[in-house]
Order: sequence, then structure tokens, then C-alpha cells
Amino acid sequence: MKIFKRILDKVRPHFEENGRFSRFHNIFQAMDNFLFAAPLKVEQPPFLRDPLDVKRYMSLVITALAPCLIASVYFFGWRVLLLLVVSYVVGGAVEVVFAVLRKEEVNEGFLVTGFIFPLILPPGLPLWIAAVGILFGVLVGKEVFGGTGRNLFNPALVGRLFLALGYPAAMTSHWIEPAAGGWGRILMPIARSAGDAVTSATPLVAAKGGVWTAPLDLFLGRVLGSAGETSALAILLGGIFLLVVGVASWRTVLAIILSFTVFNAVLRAAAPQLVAPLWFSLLAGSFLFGTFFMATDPVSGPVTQAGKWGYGILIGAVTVLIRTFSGFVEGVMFAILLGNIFAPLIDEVVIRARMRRYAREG
Amino acid sequence: MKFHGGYLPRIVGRPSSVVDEVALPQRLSIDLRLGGIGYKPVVTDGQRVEFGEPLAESDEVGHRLCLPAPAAGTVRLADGPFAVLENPQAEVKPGTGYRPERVSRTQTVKALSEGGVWPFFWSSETGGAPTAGDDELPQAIVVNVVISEPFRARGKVILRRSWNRIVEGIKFLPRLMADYGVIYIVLTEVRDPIARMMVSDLAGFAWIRFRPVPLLYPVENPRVLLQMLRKKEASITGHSKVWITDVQGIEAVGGCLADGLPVHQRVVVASGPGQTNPRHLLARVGTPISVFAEPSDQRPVRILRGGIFTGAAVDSPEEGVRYDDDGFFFLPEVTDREFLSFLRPGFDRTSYSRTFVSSLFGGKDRRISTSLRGERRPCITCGACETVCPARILPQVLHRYIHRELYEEAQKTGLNACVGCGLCSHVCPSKLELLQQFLDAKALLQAEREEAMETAGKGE
Repeated sequence: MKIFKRILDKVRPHFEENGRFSRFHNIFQAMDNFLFAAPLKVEQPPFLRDPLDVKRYMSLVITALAPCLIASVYFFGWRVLLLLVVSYVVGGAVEVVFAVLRKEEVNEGFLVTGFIFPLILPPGLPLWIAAVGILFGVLVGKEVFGGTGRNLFNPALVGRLFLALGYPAAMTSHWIEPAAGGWGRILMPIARSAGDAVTSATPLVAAKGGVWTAPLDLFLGRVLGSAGETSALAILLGGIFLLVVGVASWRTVLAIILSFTVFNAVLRAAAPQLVAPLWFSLLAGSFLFGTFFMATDPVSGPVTQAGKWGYGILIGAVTVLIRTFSGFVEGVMFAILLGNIFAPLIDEVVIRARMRRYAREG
Repeated sequence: MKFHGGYLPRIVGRPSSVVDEVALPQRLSIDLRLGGIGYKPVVTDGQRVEFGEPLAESDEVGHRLCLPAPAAGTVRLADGPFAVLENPQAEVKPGTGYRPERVSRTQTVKALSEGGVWPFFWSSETGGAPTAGDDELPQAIVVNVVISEPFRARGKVILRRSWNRIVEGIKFLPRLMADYGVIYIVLTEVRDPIARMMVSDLAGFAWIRFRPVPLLYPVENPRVLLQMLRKKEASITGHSKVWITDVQGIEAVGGCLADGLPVHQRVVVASGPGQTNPRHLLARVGTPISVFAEPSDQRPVRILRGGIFTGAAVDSPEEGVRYDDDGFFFLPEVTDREFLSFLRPGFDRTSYSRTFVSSLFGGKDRRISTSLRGERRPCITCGACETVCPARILPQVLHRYIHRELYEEAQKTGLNACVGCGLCSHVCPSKLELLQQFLDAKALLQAEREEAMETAGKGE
């Protein structure tokens, strides 16, 4: 700790005004404030502030994602870490370039986006495609809107959507066969996208053909799928942690699960041959991951607490509808992006209702 | 009675219920302001004044209000609304006392106004001190005993100390109310021993009602109290006139009317991590803060006048206790930069969120300081401000409107309902100055309205 302090104090003058690297002042500042609490003081009342800040908020999301990362490394091998590194390097570079250009502080938001992105990709995806995806996601999903806090869409999902539309073949043919056995793929060499990737059917695709994956495999995550999305166990561990610390909105999560359950049950009653049973729908695909980690992204969701109910209901329903009636087997990504589009509108309804109430009460 | 939101952090340095008397200092520095009213000095530099003689007067609320001298002494006038009393005398000379059943309304109003007590009432009509016209009598007066902020003089401490005076004060209140007016006494818990004592002492007065409220900041905020009453009591509507006073206010009413004593002393709390032996103090108005400040260590402190949420920073410790003060918080200045602060488990800090382990084990905040405790970031719409807001407004939405200068929209979305408690700024993880933005926006709208009225007036 003293060492860091000494190093920072030594290079600090170079980054100050008139210093050699004064252009990169905000990069230095980000490092400085990452290691040591920012030296800012309260100047306006209330003079006491809560210790929670955005850094901690984001670091808790990453903590909650850790079980998913561990499960994905276990089932799909160290390649997932490679994807994570690519995502962080490329996404971080975009963030830093924009921070320098905009002369704003480097924001913590990309740490979460960059962490989520590899977890929603097929684990055998070529690294360059992952790089293109995160580049597009951060650039178009976030920076063009003005950075963290101002983005309309979940940047990781924008990146994934771009890949799904731009490289549809690659996105459906680079699964990795999950390892069985006690050590999983931990002791195996890193899988190569050319040799080890398979094109077999994911549980959702197989189900369309009437083949149901075993419930235990689905729950543990021993199935084909996007790196971090297969293990319901790991997602629930992290997701429930997020609900307990209050970082993820329980309203959003509850609304999605309730609406998904109801719509699934109703449609299954009407057309049993089209709709999978509830246990399967809940566990298969990216439903749980999307619900706990993507739909609960506060920035791209609705602003108001009441709006979160509407948002959740919409996402749950649209997921079922897409899975049932469209050519896509997976609907969560589209449903959440659609929810992002509707979020401001849902907020507007809530705010109008409030306005009427204030007008009435005077 | 309940209200939405609210929060009470657990912080070290809570004052004990001991009340120590502060010795009368060599000079009293008196702030000639009270309850947001501007007073004009009526004494000249070097003049000798007696105890209770008016130092300054105001007719802002429609009749003559005085600020009485807290002690006999020689006046030195300073720049601005300040006066210094040199060589103050400890002696207290009571004036005329009254009996509640034999005093007229005119006498009551006059005595309270000249004794400096009038501004202790808050009126739902004006949002400040009430006006005294005969047609403006309140339907209800609320006596609030609950001070939730842990660093302001506690209701129970005052109750225990000045029991008789408070009961006397309550008996005078019907003189100030409309016919069939009701007095609401707001307590934490009706079964509490002190509350029981009060109930039995005041039994037989049919117009007195007891109402329990949760001990949660900002329950003492008059607008929050009013909002609870309107919701709960059928007789209190949006148009009802309600006056609200707190426990020290009603003590002053009793002291002024029953004993003929003008406001001359206050029970204040000197507390916080920067103060040794945090406790209650009985201090003469004008006593400089430096007289009772006892730094607990070498760290510099920022002194807050009022509680941790409502307090404003004091410029100099030579400033005196004001007529309406009830707490001074000694907040240590931040001196160190914590290593990897955001990764700490948080046994030693408390948060409104559940993101620190203290929310499991119930630790107290031992790390409070003037630190912003984070960096400023754009709003991430976490919604904490909405859940904590006692006024049920949407601070995050108002913030967006104000950011885009859509002041009209902000007003329609409840900007005026803001009670100014500051909880939104407190909980914001992005460290946005929400309270300040709302106050500025309100001031801006007010200025616009006045300008519009002026132009309209000229046009006629």
C-alpha cells in the first residue's frame, strides 16, 4: 500500500497541468482514485454522505458474476478467460479514448460491461469476433449516447446483437462441449475455436426437435450454450447475492419471473406442442442470466420503482412470445433490448400519474 | 402515524442525556435572526440593556416581534445582523406571568411576540412563522416531542428537565387556536413511561390527542408531520391551517406566559466524533461555540449548526448559540485517503444500502468525516433517492429535468413537495448534489414568479 502511494506520488507531477503527460491526466486520476479514496470533500449540505459509491456498486456486480465465470471456466475451459481479457482490453481502450477526448473521468461502468460480454458469447467464438462485438457494443451502445449513465441500451447486449446479426453462422457454431468429470476442463489446454468448437444443438434447439435435456445438467450447466449462461446454480448464487445487497432490483426480477411463468403456463395450456414445460423454459437458454444480470442494469432500465414492474412484465412476456412464435429459439436478448426501448415510455406513464396526483393534491 | 421512506444512520458520538449548564461567558455574540425573519436592531452601540429588553424588532409577520436580550449588559453592534453583549449579568428577571384561564388572546400574542417565542411556531399557511390576524387561527397545533436526528437536543431530555413548564405551555395553546381546535402531541411510543406520565398529567383535556410516530429521520420536519396528519386525521384537509412547534418551542411558550421569562437560553447538544464527552448543554443565547467545544483529538473539525442532515457549516467557533439552536455537530475533516476503499467489507461504516456487512451485524459508523465518500458520476438510476424520500417525489426524475433546464416539468413533478431533508443527497452513490439542485431550482422559479407578477402589476 505504501509502495503504491510512493509510485503514485512520484509520477503525479507528470500528469498535472504543464506535466509531460497532462493529456492523460484522467487516466492517472482513475488509477489514483481506484487505489486510494478520492480526496473530495462535501461542500454543500447534508454534510454527511453515505459510504456507498458507484465503484462499490459496480464491484458488487462483478462479485456476483464471479460464480458464473468460475462455472464457465470449469465447463468450457480457460478459453473463457481469454475472451474476458479481449473484452476488457478492447472495451477498456474505447472507454479510455473517449474519456480522454471528452476530458471526463474514466468510468467504472465498462468493468461490468466487459465482464458480462464474454459470458454471453459462445465459448468457442474466435477472439477477433469477440473484439469486434465489444468494440461495437461499447462504442454504439454507450459512448455515442454520452457514456455510462446516459446509455439507452445495455451495451453488452448491443454488442451481442451486432454479432448475432453480423456473424450469425459464427454465433451458432462455436459451442464447446461441456467437460464431464471431477476437474471439468480446468486441467485441459485452452480450447481452440477451430478445432474444439462444435455445432451440435443447444438445449433450446434440441427441444424444438422434441429432445429434452436432463434437468440436473441444465441446473448445473453441463450443456452447450453461452459461456456464463448455462449454469443456473451459479447464476442463482450470484443473482440472489445481488438481490440481498440490493444492487439488483427485486421488483424487476420478480416481475420478469412472474410474467414469464404466467405467460408460459397460459400458452402451454393453449398450445402444448409449441411451448416447453415451465421448468425447462426457466432453466434453458439465457433466461436466468438475462433476468438477474442484464435486465437489472439500472441505467438502461426504467428510472422509477413503479416502472420496474411494467418493464419486468414486458420482458417476461416478450421472451415467451419470441421463443414460441418466432424463428429464434432464444428471446431474452431481444426482450431486454425491447424493454430498454420501452423503459422511457413506461417511466413517462409513471411520471404523468405522479403529475396528476400532485396537481390534485396541490 | 407513518410516512414513506426516511432513514436513520447509526453513528458514534451520540450525546448522553446529561444536561450540563455552561457558565456565562465574558461576552455573548448574538445573531439577530430567528426563524428566517429579518430583524432590525433597536439599540445603539454602547447602550446598556436590561434582561429581556428588545435588542431588535421586526414587523415582517404583520405585528411587532422582538428579540429579547438574553442577559443584562453593554451592547456592541457589529456589521450585519450581529450584536455583542459585553459583561453580561447572570441574573434573570422574570416579567409578568399569566394564568391560562385568565389571559386574553391579545395578551398571549403580545407576550409571545415580545418574548421572542412567536417564531417557534411554524404555520402551514406561510411555511414559516405564522401571521397573527384574528382570521388566521389554526384548527390544530402540533407539539412535536420527537427529534429523530441523533445529534440535536432530544425531546425526552427536555421533557424530563422542564416538565412543568411544558405542561403549562400546552395549557396556553387553546388561546391561539380557532374554536374546537385540537392539539396533537407527537411522541415516539404512547406506552413509553414519559409519554404515559404526559397522558396522565393532561388527562381531562378533551382537545389534546396523542399520536405516535416512528423514530426515523426526518419525522421532525414540519412538512412531513403535516403530511402525516393530513393522511391520518379526517378533520385535517389540504386547506386546514396547522401550526407546528417542537418541544423547546412549547417550553419557551410555558416559560414566557406562565413565568414571564423571554427566550434567553437553549438546550443544545455538543456531539459527534470530534467532541469529547458528547452531551446536552444548557447555554445562554449568544454563548460562543468555542466555550464548550472540546476537540477529541488533533484532527481539525468542521462544526455543523443543527443535525448531521440539516446542519450548516459554521464559519468560526466564535459564533454564538442562536435563539433557535439545538445542536452542534463536530465533524472531523477528512485527512487520509483509504486504500482500496470500495472493497472494504464495512464493519466500521453504515449505509442506507445493504452493501456493507454492518447491515448484517449492526455496526456503527466510526469513519464519518467531511469526505464525499466517492466520486461524482452521472446518475445510474439506482432508485435509492426515490425509496428514501419522505415526500414521495422522484428525485432522480427531477434531477434529469433540472439538468436539462426543464424547470416547469420539474415543478409539475413535485419539486414544491420537496421538504428539504437532504436524504437524497445523502444516499446518492453518484454523489449528486440533489438537495442543492432542488433548492436552486425552487429559488429560480420563485424569482421568475415574482418578476412575472411585477410586470403584470406594471401593465395594469
